[in-house]
Amino acid sequence: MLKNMKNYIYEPKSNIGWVHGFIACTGALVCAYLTMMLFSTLMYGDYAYQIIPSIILTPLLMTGYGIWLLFSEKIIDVLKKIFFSSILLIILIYLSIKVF
Amino acid sequence: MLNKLNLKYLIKAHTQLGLFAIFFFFISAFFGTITLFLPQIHTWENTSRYFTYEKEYNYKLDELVKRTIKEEDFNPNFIEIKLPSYRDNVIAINDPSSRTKYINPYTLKMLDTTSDNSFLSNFFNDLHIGRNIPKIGQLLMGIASILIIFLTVSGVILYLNKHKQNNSNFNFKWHKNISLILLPYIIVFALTGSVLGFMLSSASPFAYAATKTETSNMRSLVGPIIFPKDEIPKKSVVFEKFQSIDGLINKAKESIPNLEVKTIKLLQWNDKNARIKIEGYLSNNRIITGRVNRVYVILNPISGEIIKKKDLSNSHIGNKSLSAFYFFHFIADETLFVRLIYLVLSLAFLLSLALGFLIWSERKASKYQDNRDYFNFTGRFAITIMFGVIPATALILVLYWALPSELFQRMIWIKGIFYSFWAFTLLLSVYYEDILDILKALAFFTSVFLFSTIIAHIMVAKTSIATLVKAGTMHTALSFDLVLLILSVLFFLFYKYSHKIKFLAKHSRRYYA
Repeated sequence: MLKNMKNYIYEPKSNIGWVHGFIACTGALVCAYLTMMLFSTLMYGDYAYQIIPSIILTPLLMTGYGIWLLFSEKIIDVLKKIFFSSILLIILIYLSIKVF
Repeated sequence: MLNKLNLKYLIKAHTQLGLFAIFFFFISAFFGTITLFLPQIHTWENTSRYFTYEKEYNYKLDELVKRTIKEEDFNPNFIEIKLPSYRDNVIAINDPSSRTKYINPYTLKMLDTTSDNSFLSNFFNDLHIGRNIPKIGQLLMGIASILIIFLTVSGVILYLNKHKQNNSNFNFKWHKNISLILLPYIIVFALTGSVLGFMLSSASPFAYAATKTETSNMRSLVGPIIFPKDEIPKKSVVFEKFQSIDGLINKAKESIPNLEVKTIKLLQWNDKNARIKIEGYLSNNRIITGRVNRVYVILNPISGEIIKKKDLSNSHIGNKSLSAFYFFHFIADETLFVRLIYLVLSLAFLLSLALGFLIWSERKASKYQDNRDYFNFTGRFAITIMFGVIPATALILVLYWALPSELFQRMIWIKGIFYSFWAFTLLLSVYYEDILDILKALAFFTSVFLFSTIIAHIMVAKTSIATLVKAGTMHTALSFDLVLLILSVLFFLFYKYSHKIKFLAKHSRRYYA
C-alpha cells in the first residue's frame, strides 16, 4: 500500500485530479496566510496598518500561490513547494517576532 | 507562454472550481443585483414611508429636537439624528436605549412605524451574503468569492496564452468577452466579497502576528482605530443658551467645504459641556469619505467654537483605503443612475456565469450522448439555481403582502414557502423533458406572482396608495409597482412567444422546426 502511495505521489500526472487540486488549495491557503502574517509582523505603524493590508491582500495571494502550486507535474512537487515555503515563512515569522 | 501541461492543469482547475463556485456566486450575485435597489424595496415594503415628496425640505432641527426629546423622553447623553437621504427619506432620531423615531421631513409628523419590519430588504441581503445558512453560509460565500478571483486570474492567463482563440462557440465566445469587459467589476466584487465573507472572520492569525503573539482578537485591535467611539463629555448640570443646530451645521459646512451632512450627534445635550458632532461625506470626494471614513466637525453649541475636525488631511489611511474599497461594493450614497449602471453590469455578469456553466454542460452533452442522465441532473440543478430563483423571489413579494399580518410566525412562513417553492422548481425542471418548457413554466409562474403582488399590495395598502395617487406625484411605491407590472408582462410574453425566438428554439427539441 505504501508503495502504491509512493508511486501515486511520484508519478507525473497528465491531468490534475482531486488530490492534486485539494492539496494545492490547502497549500495556497496556508502559504498565503503565513506570508501575510510575516507582513503583519514586519509592518510599522498602528494595528490598522499592520492588519488591514493583510486582510485585503490574502485572497489575491491565495490565487497566486494556488496557480504556482498547480503548475507541478507530480504531487510530490506540490508537497515540496508547500513544505519548503511554509518552513521558510515560519522561521521568518519566528525571527521577526523575536528579533524586531 | 505556458507549456501545454500547465495549460491543461489550469483549464481543468478553472472548470472544476468554477463548477463549485458558480452556484454560490450566482445566488450571491442575483440577490446582490436585487439589493442594488434596497432603498426602493425598503420604501415599498414599509407603508409608513408612503407620504408625498415635495421639492425641498422644510424643517428646523432645533424645534424638532426639542420636541422629540421632550415627547419621547430621550436620554440627552447621546442622541443621534440621521437626516433624510436617498436610502431613507425620513429624519431618524434615536438614543442608545430607545427605539428609533422616524419623522416625515416635509410635515415633521412622527411616522407610525409599528407595522414596519423591513423584512424583504433584510432577507434579500441575508441571501446575498449567505447569512440564511447558519454559521457556514457567509464563509461559503467568502470562499466562492476567493474562487472567483482565482477564476478571473486563471481566465486572463488562458486568454493571454491564446487558449482556443479562434473558438467560435457562442457560449465560449461571450463568456470570454463579457468576463474580460467586466474584469475590474468582477475583481472589485470578488475581492470585497472575500474580505467581508471570509477574511474578516478569519483574520486572527494576522492579529496574533501583529501583536507578537499577545492576542488574536482582530476587532479589538483595529476597531478603536477605524471606528473610534464618540467621547461623551462630563455633565455639569448648568445650562446656557445654545446656538441653533441649523446655524451650527452651516458653520460645519464653512469649515469643511462640500460637506453633505448625513448624521448629527448630540452629546450631553442641554448641558454646559454639551457637544455637537456633525458628520457626513464630501460631495466632491464620495469614494474616500464613504461610511467607513465620514468627515466630521465637533462644535461647542454654546460658543459655536470648533473643538475637533476630521477631514481628508487628518483621516487615517486605513479608513481612506477601506472607504474606497467598500464604496464600489455598497455604493451607499449613490442615486438611481449609478444603481442602474450597476444593474446592467450585474446582469451581464450573471449572463457570463451562466454561459460559463453552459460551456461545461455542452461539452459533457456531446461526450455522453448515449448516457445523458450522467450529466443531465447537474444541468437541471443549474436551471433550478439560475432560473428557479426568479419565480421563488417573486413569490416572496406576493406572500409579503398577501399573508395576514396577524399570522403566527409570519416571516417563518414566508421563508419556508420561498425555500419550498425553490425546491419545487427542481421537481419542475426534472419533470419537463424540454429545456424551453421549463423556462416557459418558470416565466409563467413569475408573471403570475408579480401580477398578484401588485393586486395584493393595492388591496393591503389601498388607503395609502390612494393618497399617493391623489397627490399626483410618482412616489417610489407606485414606480415599484409599475416596474413589477412591466416585468410581469415581459415574463408573460416570454412564456407565450419564446419558442418563436430562433436562438431559444435551437435549444429545444420540441419547438425546433
